[in-house]
Amino acid sequence: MSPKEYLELFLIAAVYSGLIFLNINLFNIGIFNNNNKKIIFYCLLLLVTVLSAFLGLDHSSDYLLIKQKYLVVSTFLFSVVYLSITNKKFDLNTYVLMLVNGSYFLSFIALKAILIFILQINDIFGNLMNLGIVIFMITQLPLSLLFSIFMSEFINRFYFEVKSKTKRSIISTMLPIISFILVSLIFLFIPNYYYEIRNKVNILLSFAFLIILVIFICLVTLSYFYIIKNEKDLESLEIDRDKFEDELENITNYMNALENSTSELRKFKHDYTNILSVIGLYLEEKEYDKLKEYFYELSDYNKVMNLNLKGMDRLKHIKILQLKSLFSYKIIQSEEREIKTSVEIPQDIEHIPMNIIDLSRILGILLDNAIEATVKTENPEINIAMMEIDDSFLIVVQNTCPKDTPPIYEIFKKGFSTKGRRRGDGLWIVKSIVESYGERITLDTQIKDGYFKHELWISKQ
Amino acid sequence: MINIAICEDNFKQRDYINTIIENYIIRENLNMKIALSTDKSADILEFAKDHEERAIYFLDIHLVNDIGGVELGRQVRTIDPSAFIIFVTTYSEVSSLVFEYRVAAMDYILKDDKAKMKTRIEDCLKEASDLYFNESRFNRIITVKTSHKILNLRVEDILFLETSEKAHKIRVHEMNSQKEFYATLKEIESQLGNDFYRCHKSFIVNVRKIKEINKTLGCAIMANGEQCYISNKYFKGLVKCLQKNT
Repeated sequence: MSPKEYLELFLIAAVYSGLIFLNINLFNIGIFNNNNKKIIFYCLLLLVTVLSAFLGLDHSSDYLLIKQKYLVVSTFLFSVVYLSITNKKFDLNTYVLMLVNGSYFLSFIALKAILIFILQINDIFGNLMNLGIVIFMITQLPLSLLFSIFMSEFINRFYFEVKSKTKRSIISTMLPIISFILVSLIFLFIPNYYYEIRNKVNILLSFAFLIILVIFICLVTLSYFYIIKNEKDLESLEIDRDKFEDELENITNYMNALENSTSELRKFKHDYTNILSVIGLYLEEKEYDKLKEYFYELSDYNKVMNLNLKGMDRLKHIKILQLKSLFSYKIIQSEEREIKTSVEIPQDIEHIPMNIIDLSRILGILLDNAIEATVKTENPEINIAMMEIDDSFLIVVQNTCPKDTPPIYEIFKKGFSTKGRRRGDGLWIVKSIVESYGERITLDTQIKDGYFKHELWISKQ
Repeated sequence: MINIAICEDNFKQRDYINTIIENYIIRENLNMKIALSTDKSADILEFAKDHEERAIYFLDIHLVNDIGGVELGRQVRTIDPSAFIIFVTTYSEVSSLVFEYRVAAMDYILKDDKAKMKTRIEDCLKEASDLYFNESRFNRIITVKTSHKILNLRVEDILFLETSEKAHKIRVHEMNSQKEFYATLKEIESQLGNDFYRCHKSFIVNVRKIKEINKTLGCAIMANGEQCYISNKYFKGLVKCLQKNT
């Protein structure tokens, strides 16, 4: 090999890696957060391109294409491996690099097509080897930049307009895999037969191949959106299942509470008869002092009785059995933990215009959270109110909260929990149920003056 | 000029409130006047209907032989959603949540302690005056009235607004609260003013509350650490807007 040829190869490698650097900087996605890493990456990349430029030495007139084949594949593999090791994950960045490579390759095919179809030059490299390469590369530079600008715009639109986190992560992990398949396809198919026979048919075939690739990308992308949708459906199924479990639990608890109060009542009836007979006895024997003493004892007893029966009484306005059961159970739970619990329901609630299972699920979560949070405070307190205001129902759950309560946006996140596993998704579930009712239901949440407060507004229309 | 309307059926009490207010207006040179002082709720309602501009109402909760202060307040609120309503009451019914929600009142003043009552009334007047006249960029309030509730949003407190995926529902993110109402971003955008920037098709951000911008995540980190998405299309514009603001 002559020194001239070495120079030529080096030129190809340098131009190619230069293009990659330029392209990387064009994309708005930060691959490197630190300049040193960037420099190391560029140096290694240059080394790889130079090495691969020396691979597959061939003096045929289309050897430039073969070169590019090696360049595309080797730099792509290098980038994937390098970024995977340093970033410890396979993410969007690799996809970006693939696009850079792809744009370079695309520009090559396009330029070749222009030469053959429009300028009718079939064998540019055969006649003007050295000059041809230089001209070719100079034209390829802006063309490839154009492609990558176009593609970066596309990615940015496609990726950054997506709001949901899950969609983002799915796109960013799946796209590199598609790109990997794409590059392998380029490596496997295009150059070999292209190299053997060069004619218009083959160029057409290459274009057809490119179109197939584009369709392929679209199909894969669509299928991911389908997967996302399926995932959502699965999630809602899971929510439904949980709902029924919760419902069952609430009703069981309510039954228990009812049973308790019935036996309490029976006990009271029994005691009452006893008390009357004792009073009767004292009266008959005219032991007024003892009667007085006994009476004061009784008033203590009364206090205890009142406390137990009061819980039920406060809920007398709720005419919806499921809600009544839920509230009574949660109030009992809360009072057992010595939380000062107030319930205000000023008028009869007979119907609430939303699915009662959804509502009890929301309230169950809100009340559980309130209990959980307020017990950590010095003066645990929960206030519950339910009322009609104009054209809507308002349910308020308010509790004193510890000073280290995390910010609201944190606790609405999926998987957030200050407690154990599974229960963590609580508020996230509340939010998604509220969301499913659209504008009819809104949830306002605030932390103010040491109180954490949820307001659930349910419109009657 | 802010109008003040008073409804109190105890003549002595009404007189006392009148005096406190008049003295305070003169002393502080406030741009307010007592437009009405009555014992009948009908007068108050008529007044509210006749005067479109925001007014201050001092209402006695226990109006004998009348609809009662709470109901009166509710009706005033429907006529004038932004009214400053202050209740005057003899006992602390104020701890009740239901009461608090029936009428979104500015304050509750207890009649029991005369000295305290005076300072509370004065505080209310001062606050109302500040809110009314200093509606500059710093403490402007926008009132959102939806089918079932009225929200008064302090523009200064808003971090960003976000539309929900379904329906035209907007979620307002503030430092320590999240609220929802029914509207479109377009409707609300024009009311927000210069500090706000549409940074995504479903987000409007308060530029003053941005702590930093993370290009990799495509979002702005707000003063409380929350993330607000920025689409690439609006990225440069937002940066420009930020530079202009600082």
